[in-house]
Amino acid sequence: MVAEVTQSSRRTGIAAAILVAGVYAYFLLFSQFAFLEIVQHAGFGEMRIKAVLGMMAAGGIAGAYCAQRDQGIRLLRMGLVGCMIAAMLSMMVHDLWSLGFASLLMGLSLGSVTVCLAALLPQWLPRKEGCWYVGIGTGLGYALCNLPAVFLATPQQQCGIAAVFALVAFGASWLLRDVAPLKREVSKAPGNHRAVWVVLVFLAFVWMDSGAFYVIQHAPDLKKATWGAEKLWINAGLHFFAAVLAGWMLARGQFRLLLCAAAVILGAAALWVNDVSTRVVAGYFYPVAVSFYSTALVCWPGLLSGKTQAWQRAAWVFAIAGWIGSGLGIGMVENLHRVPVWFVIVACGVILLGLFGGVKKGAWVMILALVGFFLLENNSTPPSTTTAVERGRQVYVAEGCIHCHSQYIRPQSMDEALWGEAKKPSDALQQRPVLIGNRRQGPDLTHVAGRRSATWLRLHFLAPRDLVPDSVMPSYAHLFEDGRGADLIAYLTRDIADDITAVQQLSQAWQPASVAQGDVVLGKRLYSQHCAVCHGYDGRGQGMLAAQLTKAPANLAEGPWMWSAKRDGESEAVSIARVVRFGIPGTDMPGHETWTSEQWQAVTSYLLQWRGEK
Amino acid sequence: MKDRPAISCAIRHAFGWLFFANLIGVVMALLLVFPQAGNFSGGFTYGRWVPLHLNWQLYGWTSLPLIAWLFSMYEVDRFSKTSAWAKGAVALWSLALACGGLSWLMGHSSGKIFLDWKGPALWVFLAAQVGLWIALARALRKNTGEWTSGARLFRGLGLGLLALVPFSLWLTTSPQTYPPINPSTGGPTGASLLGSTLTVVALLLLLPRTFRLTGTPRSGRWYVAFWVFEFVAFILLEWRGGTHRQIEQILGLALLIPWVWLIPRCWSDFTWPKETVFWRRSALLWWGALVLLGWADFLPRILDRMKFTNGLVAHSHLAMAGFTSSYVLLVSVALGGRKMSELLRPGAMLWQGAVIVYVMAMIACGWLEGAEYSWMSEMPLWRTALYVVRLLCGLVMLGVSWQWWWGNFYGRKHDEA
Repeated sequence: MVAEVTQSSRRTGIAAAILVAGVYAYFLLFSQFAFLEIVQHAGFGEMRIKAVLGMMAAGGIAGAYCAQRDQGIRLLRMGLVGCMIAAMLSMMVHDLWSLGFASLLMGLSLGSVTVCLAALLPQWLPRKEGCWYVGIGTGLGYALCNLPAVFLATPQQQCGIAAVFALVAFGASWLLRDVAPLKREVSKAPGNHRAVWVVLVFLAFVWMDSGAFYVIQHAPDLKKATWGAEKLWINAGLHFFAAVLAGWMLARGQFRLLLCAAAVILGAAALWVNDVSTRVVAGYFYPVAVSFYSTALVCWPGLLSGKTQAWQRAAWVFAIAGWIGSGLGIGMVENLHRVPVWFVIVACGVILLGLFGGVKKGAWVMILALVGFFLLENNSTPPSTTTAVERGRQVYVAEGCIHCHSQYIRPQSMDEALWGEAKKPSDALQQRPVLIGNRRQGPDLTHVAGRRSATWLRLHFLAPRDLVPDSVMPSYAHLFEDGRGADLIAYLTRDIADDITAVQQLSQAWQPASVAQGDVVLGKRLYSQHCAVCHGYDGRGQGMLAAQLTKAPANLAEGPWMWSAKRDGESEAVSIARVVRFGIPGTDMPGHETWTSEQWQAVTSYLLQWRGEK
Repeated sequence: MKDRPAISCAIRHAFGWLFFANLIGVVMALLLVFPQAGNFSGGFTYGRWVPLHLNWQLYGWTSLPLIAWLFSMYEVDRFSKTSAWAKGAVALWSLALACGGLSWLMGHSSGKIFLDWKGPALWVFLAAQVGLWIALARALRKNTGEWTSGARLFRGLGLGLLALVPFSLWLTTSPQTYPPINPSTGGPTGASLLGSTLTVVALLLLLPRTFRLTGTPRSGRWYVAFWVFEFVAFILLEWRGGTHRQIEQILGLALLIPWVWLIPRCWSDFTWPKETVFWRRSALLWWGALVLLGWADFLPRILDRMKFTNGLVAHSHLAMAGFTSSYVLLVSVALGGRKMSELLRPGAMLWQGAVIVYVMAMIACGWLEGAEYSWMSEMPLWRTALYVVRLLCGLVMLGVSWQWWWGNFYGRKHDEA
């Protein structure tokens, strides 16, 4: 058995990885992106576009069929030349017949290349090493396509780049030696699962993937959220590391576990891509899942199935799963405009059934019950509520705000000096549900509307650390993509009049005899961290968020100082310190209740310095 | 445990839930150390993960070994049919936890900590409890000829009490109900803490007796009498209400302190299997720490400082990761014997060490933030340093729980795998 395995070497492995990377990159960039764009913008009717793309699929199936009889490396090289010609032709021609020919040539070439590649791998490399190098090659292929310079190029430029990818793959093929056709017994290699089931598994993957891909491609906001320019490097990295991980898992014989993980992740991504709140996560899940199954797709026919079966298995899996699956996926979403939940469930069911056909009945019952529960829960309509405050309370509960915020000021405790006067315990107990909380990662929210305006709250939900440096609060920007954010603010500010009164009383009751000279250096640092975002570093009211506030922030350097002017019986310093500490209730100016006396004295002194200069 | 498939199944599921709950715990710890990571998780923010961590620990990790204990008491594995019913009940229980996790992650919660069950997830969980009750009832009927009349009565009464559990859960998860509060803190009263801990005392007292350990138990009636006295005190104090500044509430909670000595005394009357020694000592040490620190935490100046801080997180972990985990591991070893003891040996000291460091780090954090709230917001370096310690401890516990679950039950050829 060992003798049958071609002597492996690092050079062979690297060449194989480059070959895999080149073929994948060509397929992704040219077949999935550039060629589709060129055809769709060529001004043909819908039927003609379908005819051109249908020729690609037909060519792919025919190419796979032709390659199933162990044609050796020559066919692979011929196919790569065909790929190059098709890509370059597509750059230059615009008429229907020429593009039709390019489509057919590309399908034929790519169909034969993919089968040859998958089937020849076990003749060049032993299983473990082969899986590793396929993982690296697949990851590299995907990563290259996600490089901003490649991803954002025009379709014509992408055709040229794809031709270069094919050329590189062609060059790599010359580093791999030709081998004689095989006539040997069936291998007992790990992962030698029933071929029909595995073909069905990959069909489900490609179908689901193509559908989700098409949805994302044709919805600008979705595309921006998942493949926006700023995410391309991350996507490239995710693809690469996920594919390498997949190669490692396959080398360890974890074929089923890998595909199971890919199914769960891809299923979740396909569902979550439809929801604004989960779209970001879907954007990260998608490349991971696709890299997982793509690596397995290349490894299974040859490396994981044995050499003599490789050609036929490769032909069947690429013809049915690859070409027919992608056609079905695109066709489905063209009609339905989305990836339906039921389809994801069926696809995941087929994948699990194909992989774990031998699991106990009980486990199946559990899986199906969980899926049923998900459908029930996902489609259940929340009870209708009439007011924004009630809806906001539901958002507060759903988001688990209670795990970081209390709504209970403890009487006669430090709480009252920070958050305002305690309410009666019965007030807290009247809420349904009671939301007292038991842990404060953030402040108490009892009189929050008196301390923070609705505008401030909104800005804070969008980007907490813009306003509160070092805050551990996550961004809740997704709540503002629908009405939940506004409802949550309505809930928090439901007692605004009472809250403002409570904070005003707290502020007025605070009567320091004098404000000691503070540390101006500390004051400057604190000002830069906490105040400059609105008032600007020079204090002239032109901070980063100034334009988004209800009213322009005060010009602290030049005045007028309406809120902190010298008053009867009170020094200017005390007046400023009061505003620094408690803010101005009813405006966007927040307090800094948690600061120590050293901190608010420092900022007061720093602000007074400006007035002195004036 | 090859001959006890239902018990084995419940324990295996418990270890699985320990791993998943710890995994979520690590995710939460990461989100506190790297809050920016929350920007990448879309709608799945910190607050949505918390119920999964808390409830999977409570209803998965700590409940399932107790269910295994019930299976042992009702001898469900004596007949294949009752065993199959019991295994089905465990599967349903795990299904309910999975459904709950999905539900909480999707934002469906009752808003009550540890009682977040709502909507379809609540009904699945209630169905699991009913399924468990039916499995036990079938075992009682099948085994009835094998037991003495006293044993039958004891188990019959137990079944009667268990019948109330689904109803109680349904009632307590409702947003319309809420227990009495300490008006000074918004938290539980001393009496409430006494009442809930007395349930734990009862479980501790029952443990050696239900395992039919040999020995010469002394003062058994006195234990029961003392327990009943304290239960009456709990009822009266709960009815009166009060704050942690009132002496009767402080003294009421102090009624638990004698159990720090009484439980080890009670257990020492029995001859325990050799393999239980590590987890027995751990459980007793954690029990002592829990009661004494819990009472100290309730004292006026201390509670005023520690309430709403990480000090509370420390106490919760002392209770769950320290005491309760050691207790259910003791139950598991008592049920699984030497084999189970060997399976748990790798990582046992690591687990205990990580819990101790975790608790101390969070007590320090709570003590500092309780003195000056600005410590949390204005001392990010120290706060983050302590959160990193917590994260590291969480990773150690996650690794140990992986070894205990996957490593033992699936990773190698184990007789039950």
